[in-house]
Amino acid sequence: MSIELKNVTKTYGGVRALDSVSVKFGGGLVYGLLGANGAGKTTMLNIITNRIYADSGEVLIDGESAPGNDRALGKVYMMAEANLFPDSMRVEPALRLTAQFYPGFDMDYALDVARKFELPLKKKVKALSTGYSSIFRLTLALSCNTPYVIYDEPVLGLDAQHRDLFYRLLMEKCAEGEQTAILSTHLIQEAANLINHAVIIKKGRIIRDAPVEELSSAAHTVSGPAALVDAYIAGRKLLSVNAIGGLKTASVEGEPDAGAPAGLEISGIGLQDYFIGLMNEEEGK
Amino acid sequence: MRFAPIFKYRMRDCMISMGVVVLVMIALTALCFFGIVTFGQIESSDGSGEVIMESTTMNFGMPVAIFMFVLSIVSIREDMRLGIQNGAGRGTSFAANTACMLITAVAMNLTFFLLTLLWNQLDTGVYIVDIFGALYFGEPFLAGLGDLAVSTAALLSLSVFLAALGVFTSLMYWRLNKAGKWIVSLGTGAVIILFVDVIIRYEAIAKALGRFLDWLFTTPWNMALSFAVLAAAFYAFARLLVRRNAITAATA
Repeated sequence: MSIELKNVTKTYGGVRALDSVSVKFGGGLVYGLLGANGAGKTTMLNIITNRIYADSGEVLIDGESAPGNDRALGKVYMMAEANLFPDSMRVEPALRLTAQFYPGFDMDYALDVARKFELPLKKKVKALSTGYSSIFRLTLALSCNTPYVIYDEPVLGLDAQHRDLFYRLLMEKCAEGEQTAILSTHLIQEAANLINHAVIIKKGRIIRDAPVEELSSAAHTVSGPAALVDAYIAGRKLLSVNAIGGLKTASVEGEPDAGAPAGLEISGIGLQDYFIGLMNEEEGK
Repeated sequence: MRFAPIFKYRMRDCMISMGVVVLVMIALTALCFFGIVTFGQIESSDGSGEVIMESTTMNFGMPVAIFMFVLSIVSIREDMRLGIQNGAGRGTSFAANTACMLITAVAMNLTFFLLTLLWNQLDTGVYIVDIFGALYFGEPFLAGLGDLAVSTAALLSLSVFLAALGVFTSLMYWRLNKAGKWIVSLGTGAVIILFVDVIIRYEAIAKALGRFLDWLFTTPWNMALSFAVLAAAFYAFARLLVRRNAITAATA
């Protein structure tokens, strides 16, 4: 049971937003869909939910072709940045209307989430600030209880307290293990603890698709006096190097060297560091 | 099934809008009766030039047709967005909107048919002008139940055609890019001018058009049939337009 994209290509004008992308999301995991601006993340998510069509390729949801298929599309809820609710609709009626589409929608939970975030239920959806608009949409996404939920920039405009609350609620939701979540975000460090599996996309192509542990163990960070670091990294594949004064920090691909000299600090690499290193490597910096 | 929630939402919205229009039309008719507003006046004379009777007129047909056109324009994109946000395919959202437009057109025409019948019983001096009556029965005020029913059927057909045209126009402009919008907007005017020119230049085409118009104005059923065919064609084109267009959010 999964969302599966097979050789999906999408072009805007002369630009390939997605270039023969094949990827699978499923297994009750939390996927981090990571990429720079314009990498093709939102295009991919819009194609999955049939907001736009791919030029070629297939989108399957639990084995069924998704475009135009109510049964397949009904298994996915997407919290997108764009508001697709009618301008005149107020928050509470929008929650109730969504509940009519999704049999698993938990209205009590939705109202509880709205209360925790102090979301004004009487206000028009259109009149909500950027932060509250995000809260409104994430309230829907958290409450719909579909097998797949897509969060596209879920914490846009949210303050630190609300971001923390959202991550906690998402963690609780995902702990139930019945829902596969796709989290597309630029705030990798904040969401890193939630993400089980990372899909990294660059210029419309998937460049990494692996469990986070695998990516973390595929590289490590070494820091210490510049001379020692230089000696350590000689001949190794580097993801990134930063130097401040006489100290240097390098992200290096592969297992750490057991016989590393004293004075060097070796640690695992975080998802954000891995991502930045990978992007730099791809750009040949 | 994701048809029902979209249908229920839209139908409720349509009925509220329809209720407002009906109330406004009743209020305007009452204002006509009290001489506060007037949309047209009929004067009758006894032949000596002296006016012996003055009546004011009201019309329900055009507001019904225009209402359906506007309603379809504003509702179709909203329903497509609502559907796609909530996991409904384009076909489902389109079908729900179409069903609502058809039901609203029927309800609207039936309401004004009954209102006209009722008004005609009151002998108020305010006459409800009937366009199809003027075109086909040589009488702008229809009092007979049968004639009024035929006129209502023709108006229903016109209403559905305008709803289809509204849906088609809204979806076409949604799908087109900026250059496309300019081309279509200017091109439509150009085609009309060209068509007039073609009719003037080519007698055979003018005669064919004349024969069609003769047929069209023979009976209201011919007009109703023509509008029904056009409505079906525009709904078919509209469905094709929405098949692969991008469902985008409304811009502020």
